[in-house]
Amino acid sequence: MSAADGSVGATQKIVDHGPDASRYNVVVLGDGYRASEMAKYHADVQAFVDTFRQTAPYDALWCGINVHRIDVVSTDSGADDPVACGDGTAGSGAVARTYFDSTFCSNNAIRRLLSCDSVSARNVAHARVPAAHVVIVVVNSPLYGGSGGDVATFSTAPGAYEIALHEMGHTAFGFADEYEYYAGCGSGEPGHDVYSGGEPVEPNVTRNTNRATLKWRSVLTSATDPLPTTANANCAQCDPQSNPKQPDYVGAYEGARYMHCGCYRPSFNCRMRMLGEPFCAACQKAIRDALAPYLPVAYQGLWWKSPAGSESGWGMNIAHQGDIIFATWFTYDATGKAWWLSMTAPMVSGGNVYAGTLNVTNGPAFNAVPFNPALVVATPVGNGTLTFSDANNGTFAYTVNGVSQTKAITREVFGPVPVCRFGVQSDLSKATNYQDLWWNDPPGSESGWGLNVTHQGNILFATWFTYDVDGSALWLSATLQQTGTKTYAGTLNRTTGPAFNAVPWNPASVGVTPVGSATLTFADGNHATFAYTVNGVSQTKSITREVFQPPGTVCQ
Amino acid sequence: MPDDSPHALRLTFAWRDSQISLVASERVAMIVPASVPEPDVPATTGYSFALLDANGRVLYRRPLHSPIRIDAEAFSPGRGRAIERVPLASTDGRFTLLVPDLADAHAFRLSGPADPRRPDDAATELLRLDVDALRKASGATGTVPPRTRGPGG
Repeated sequence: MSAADGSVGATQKIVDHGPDASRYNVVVLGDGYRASEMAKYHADVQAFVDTFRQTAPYDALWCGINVHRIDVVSTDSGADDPVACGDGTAGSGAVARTYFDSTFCSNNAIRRLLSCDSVSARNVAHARVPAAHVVIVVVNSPLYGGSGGDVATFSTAPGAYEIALHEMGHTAFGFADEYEYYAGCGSGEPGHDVYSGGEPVEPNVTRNTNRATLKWRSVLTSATDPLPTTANANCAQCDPQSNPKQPDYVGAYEGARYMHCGCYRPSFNCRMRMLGEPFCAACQKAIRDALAPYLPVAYQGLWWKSPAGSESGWGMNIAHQGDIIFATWFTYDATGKAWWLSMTAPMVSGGNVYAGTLNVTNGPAFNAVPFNPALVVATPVGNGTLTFSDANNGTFAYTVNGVSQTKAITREVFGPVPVCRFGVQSDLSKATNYQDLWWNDPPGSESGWGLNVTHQGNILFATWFTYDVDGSALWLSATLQQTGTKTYAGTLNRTTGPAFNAVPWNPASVGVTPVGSATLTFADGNHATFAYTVNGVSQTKSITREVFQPPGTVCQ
Repeated sequence: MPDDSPHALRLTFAWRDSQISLVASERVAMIVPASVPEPDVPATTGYSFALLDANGRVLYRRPLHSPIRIDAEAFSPGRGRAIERVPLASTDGRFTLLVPDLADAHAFRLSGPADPRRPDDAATELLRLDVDALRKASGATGTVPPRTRGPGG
């Protein structure tokens, strides 16, 4: 029943999004796992990580999070389960010799209160992962239980991982409990009728219902609905009324922080009120705000050969969302015709290496009406790897039709370069910088063509990847100057140049031919019209950002 | 060559009844969660911690949920099952906080109710520490330290 009852084994970084010094580090330890149960331990940790990853808003912040698993071996399996407990329940009497000494009925309080030696757990975690932010202990017991505090503890019983998610809300983000009682609504508890304290410090509870100063006013569902959303008619008890609004409505509901009245919570339900519920919008915003510094700078934007200008005429547009890059490489085929290849490249290591298959795509001509996405055919021609040395430099190694080459690349700069981050803005319509990959609206309706927009200052550089009248890949480009508040216009060019694999690649051989004009008019940060004339053919498309990893990336 | 990458001070505190004391300070290469700005309606209740410059201005601030554990949550299995609170008999424990190691940080301040069993009382300053002293107290990390006996028997 101490550290003598086991040993600390290997440490494995099971979610690796880059250096620990730059990411938010969650450390998971096990207790009550014998050496022969390490495979089960690994599976239990992975099950938790899978849930953690799917939990909003962590799903959108995932690229800023590392998870470390430390293999801790215990002499015995399970946890202590005392026969007698303060709540009157009877336990099995099991006494397990485990490294962190986990026990049910902690403090002789209640059976489901499962805790461990949190000091020891912290010490082990910090020794192995000095940059640890959160420490979680998984206890190998099928009995339901868990606890919070400096270390979150939960058993392997179904659903017990919810305890860790709730407790992280307290420990990592300072959230208050949003439930409106102490011992329970039916407990007849005294002293929890009306909150009489000052404004609470926690971001998810308040005594203030003034819309102008409400701490979560930025996520209110309605700008006009009266506040509070609900009022408790009888402060001697919990408010029995059901939610008068939709489940994700954000307003001000009376009853929170162990008080029936006088204190308000943002939504009717939240993970900080009841396990199994999603975090309310106010909690999600607080998590996003807290973890924003850990999000890597997205590589989103327009890149070209380094040093800048040395091979002007070809380039690569990168859309970077979470752990995935979608790259469109606009270059030239063996005949010098404009040619584009695309690559969906998931991160393969450490937050800076992305690799995938390069495809050449054929499809309906740019002016086909309707544009039938079912006729788009992608053909693999090789593979590519993007390796970034910093936010503005990297290499592009590729093999295309058996030709392998590597190019140093850098961002193309023609104005103030915005900083792009994934997951910081859940409502893309609020974005004011339009740099992104756009496609036909509604999403997927004309899958197969797209428009890459690079936005620096008052200038947009757009590369439109589409198809020629013979169905072959074609790209056109335009430098668009701001002509109105949300309108940008310019000449649409078709380009020819040296083949992608030419050595040396001579930019003087690039030929630019105006073929028409293009105008982008933005309704908001996520909706626009793309009006163009190409060789006398004029058309207009509604476009929206292509989000392949919600909530997408915004630049500013 | 000086290491100018972001560092944090990890502060470990021990509490016994309502008394809080610093146990350890470590300087670690890491980023801390973003500071929380003071809301329009200033908070007067609950725990929080802050870094202050020499003029008393807040450089970094975050809320903190009940670091002194006078009670605990007991969870019930299954969706839709509520949470109960149960008083704890324990009278001591530990907690850790992270603050950025900012060049102009002068003092660390921990605020909260004077009596942890009266959490709705107005927050007061519970502890103030000199940041230079915290830096000097920072030791090396990287080895598994001796185990300390904790709760849970």
